[in-house]
Amino acid sequence: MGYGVCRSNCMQSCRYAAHVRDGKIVRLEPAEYSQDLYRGSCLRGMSYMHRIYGSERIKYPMRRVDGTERGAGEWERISWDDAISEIADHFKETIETYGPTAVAFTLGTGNYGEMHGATGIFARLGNVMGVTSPAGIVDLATGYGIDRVLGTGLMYFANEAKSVLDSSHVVIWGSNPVHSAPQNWRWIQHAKEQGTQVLTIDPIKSATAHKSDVYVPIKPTTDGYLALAMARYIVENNLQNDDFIRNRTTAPLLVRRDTGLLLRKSDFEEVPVDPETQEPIDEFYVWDAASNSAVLFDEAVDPALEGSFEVNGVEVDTSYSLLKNRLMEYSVDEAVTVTGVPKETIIELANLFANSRAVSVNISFGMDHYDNGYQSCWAIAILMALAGQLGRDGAGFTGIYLNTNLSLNIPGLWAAPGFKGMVSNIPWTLFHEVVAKQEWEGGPFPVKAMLTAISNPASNWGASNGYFDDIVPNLDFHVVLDMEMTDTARYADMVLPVASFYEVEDFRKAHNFPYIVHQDQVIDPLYEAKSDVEIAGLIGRAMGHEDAFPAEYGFEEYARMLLSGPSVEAAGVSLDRLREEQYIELTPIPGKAGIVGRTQFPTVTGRAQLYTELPAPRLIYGQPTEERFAKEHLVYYQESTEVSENSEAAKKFPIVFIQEHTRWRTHSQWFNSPLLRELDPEPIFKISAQDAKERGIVDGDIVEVFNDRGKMVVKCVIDPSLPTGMSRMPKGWQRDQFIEGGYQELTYPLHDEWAVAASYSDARVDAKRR
Amino acid sequence: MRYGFVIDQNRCIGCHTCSVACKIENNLPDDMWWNRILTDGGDWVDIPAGEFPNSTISYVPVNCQHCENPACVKVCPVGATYKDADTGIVRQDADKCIGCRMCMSACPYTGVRSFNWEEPQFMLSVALGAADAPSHQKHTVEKCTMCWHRIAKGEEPECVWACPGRARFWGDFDDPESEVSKLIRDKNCRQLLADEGTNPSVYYIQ
Repeated sequence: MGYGVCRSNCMQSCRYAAHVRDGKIVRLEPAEYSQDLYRGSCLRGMSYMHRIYGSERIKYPMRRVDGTERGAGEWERISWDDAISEIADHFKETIETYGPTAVAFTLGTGNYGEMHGATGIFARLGNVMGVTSPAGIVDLATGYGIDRVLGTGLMYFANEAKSVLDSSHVVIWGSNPVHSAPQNWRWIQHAKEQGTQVLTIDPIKSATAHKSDVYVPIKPTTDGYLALAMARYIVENNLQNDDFIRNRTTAPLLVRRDTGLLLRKSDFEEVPVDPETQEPIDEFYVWDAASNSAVLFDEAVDPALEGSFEVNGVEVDTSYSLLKNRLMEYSVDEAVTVTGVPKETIIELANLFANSRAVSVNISFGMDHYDNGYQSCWAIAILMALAGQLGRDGAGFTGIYLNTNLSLNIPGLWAAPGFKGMVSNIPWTLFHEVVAKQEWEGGPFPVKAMLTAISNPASNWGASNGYFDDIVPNLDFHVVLDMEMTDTARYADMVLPVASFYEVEDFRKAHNFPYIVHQDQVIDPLYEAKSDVEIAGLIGRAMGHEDAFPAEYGFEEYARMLLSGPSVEAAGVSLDRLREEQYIELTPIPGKAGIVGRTQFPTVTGRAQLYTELPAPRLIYGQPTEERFAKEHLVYYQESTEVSENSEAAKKFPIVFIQEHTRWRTHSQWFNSPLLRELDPEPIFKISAQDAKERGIVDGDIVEVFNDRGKMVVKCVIDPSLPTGMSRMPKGWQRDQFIEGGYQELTYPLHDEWAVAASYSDARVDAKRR
Repeated sequence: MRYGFVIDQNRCIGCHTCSVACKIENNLPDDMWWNRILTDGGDWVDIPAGEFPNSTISYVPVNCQHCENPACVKVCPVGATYKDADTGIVRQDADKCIGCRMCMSACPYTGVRSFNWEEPQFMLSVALGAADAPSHQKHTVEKCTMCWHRIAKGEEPECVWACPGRARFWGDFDDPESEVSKLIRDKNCRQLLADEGTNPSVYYIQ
């Protein structure tokens, strides 16, 4: 028997005991954690054997048969020696002719092991080779929006899952934990049994909405407007939390009317430089109501929260005044039209945020997948700041908890001898154009060879025709590492069989759980599969990088690089300890839930920011930023691109199209599990009763779902969870599982230029009977 | 003793993890499920009933109800299905079963029993689950054993430990101090098809 931790991208981290008989894993049982309600499991994690031993497993290296088309499905078995030398020949020739950036590594989130995941061993190889690695763009708008207020970067905005036990209310806003995060829902259910009220705001009556005390339907992608109207109602009716605003936010900081920057000491005098950081020590001015003058923040007796002032000829306003002015652009009355939520409900919700003991907003990536996703989440963060629902037990965001108590030494793993670095500022959303045109940033940028590991880009490419039309035909060589023949593997030139979760040693800093968890190598890799560590070493050495990938190095040597440095030492984490204890708790305050901003927020001031002094796009790749810069200081509402009922697309395609997460797959993983397919045999498109009626569609019909980008032909079911004008489709099915086409052809391919995050669901379709 | 289950439908999220755990632990043949999750709502899995936004859905996990007064036992001509006197578990002896399927037609809980029309087939070549998991034989009826092989070792049925929602409880209804006895005393519980007079040992908290 051995122990392991599931590492697919469901953002949870269930431990399993793997029972072995005759050298085979015969059973995976949920294994304990120190806090029992973190012990979890699901039908996917528990049936992982069906992916290990299933007939769909890739067994040996294979090469596309010479003279056949990519995607034709004709493969020949080759030896590992031939595979590695062929890969090295292709890469070397590409690098000699076009330079190292003409090799692209597409790495994703199919494995959250620290070694076998996207920032692990293949990032070491990519950095040594100096390749292009397109920038991740998925699930980043939520964090980007909340960061404006909390300074929590892209992923560190949420409190620990169990914090909901301290909440008087859990508002599940645009997420569906019952299906997509059952290990988080378990805590919410227990909170509910203790008397916590659970509300769900969602355009669809999701499984979670059905389990909630209150369901608030809303027009899709108008959540930001709702939050701003509630915020306005709160300040207009003096319901805001003045203590929180005074003590925990940047409300009193003064904004210069001439520059939009905050008024600082350096505006008037020289300031010293911190000898350690080389950054200026530059304090902020506030208006002191006691002395009726501008003084440095530390020296103020009674900092004015509101008002406009003149300081040495510079006109300034407080951050809070500017925010309040901005909020006056939104109203409850207008919100009724925009969001479809009744006036009394909006007022009730505003009062709930303002007056409740502790509100947790369970948020994830539902609002994220639209062009206005970050504004929605930014607006909710502002609402919570004004209501003081942040930074204490039971109050704040929940949903995607990542532990800040331990930083693994990723630079230590990447900084191999010969380190070159990777070109990593090309968003995935633009990468197919780069490959098609062989241009980037206005000049030639050849991309000729590609290696894909830990991911299935073909299946996850917004408007996937961009992948098939622009990438596939324009590469000279593409090698894919996988366990199964995904959409991506099917269109490659070579596939390499990789080891499963239980065939390697690894560890993961848990998502949503306060632990770092070890994975035993429970069984040897099946067939000719190899671990990513071994494959990266073979390719690295064949490319001449023996110093970075010495033949004698294995998992242990690389693991000790990651598990080094002051943060790891301070936490007392080591490989030996992980091997012995299997998991180590990283709870910041023993017995208490991890809370973002319990003492201060990770912003420049340590306070929640009502005004963003220096807004910046999440990723800078040459997009125009000047026009929107001034607008980005203060929260605002922007309509989504297609889903908005006022969009051009709405005139042509009346049905919003959401690709939901269901229990049957994690993204595309488990797509061909023979066990799960007995329960969930085929793709189903779900349509509202009214939309079905208007199109003469009845339950079980085969329909064609289409828009200007593509189509799918699929079975259709009438779903009363859906309001008129909305449809949904469980994601993750591969193209060959559809009658024709595929759901990803229909999704939205672009991104907002500031969030630079994938907006898959900002899409509309229509449907007709076949 | 009268062993049985309490299932909290408020906690059940219909995730099928218990079904999968059961299928693996007992190495069930292809297309056989001893423990199924029924959607109480529309006609399709996970599809609610009613109209937006007032639609409703809940889940009913259904396995052999291990009735105190089992209809199946009365009709079995060969004594292959019988109630274990010590535990109250309704058992099915594959070696005695003649495949007449009288038990299947007598049982009011449709679908909890399966019949092996052909030699059982397995999607994996690896035999899964417990080493002492039941065997599966052509032309015999089979069903939930309440994980007899686990109970014999002092363990709970696999579906209980597997449940991520902590919705499944197992114990002895004859022991007034057991968790399951307390639950049926304290919570609003029902039995499926109570008017059939079978007195199932599976209770559902609503």
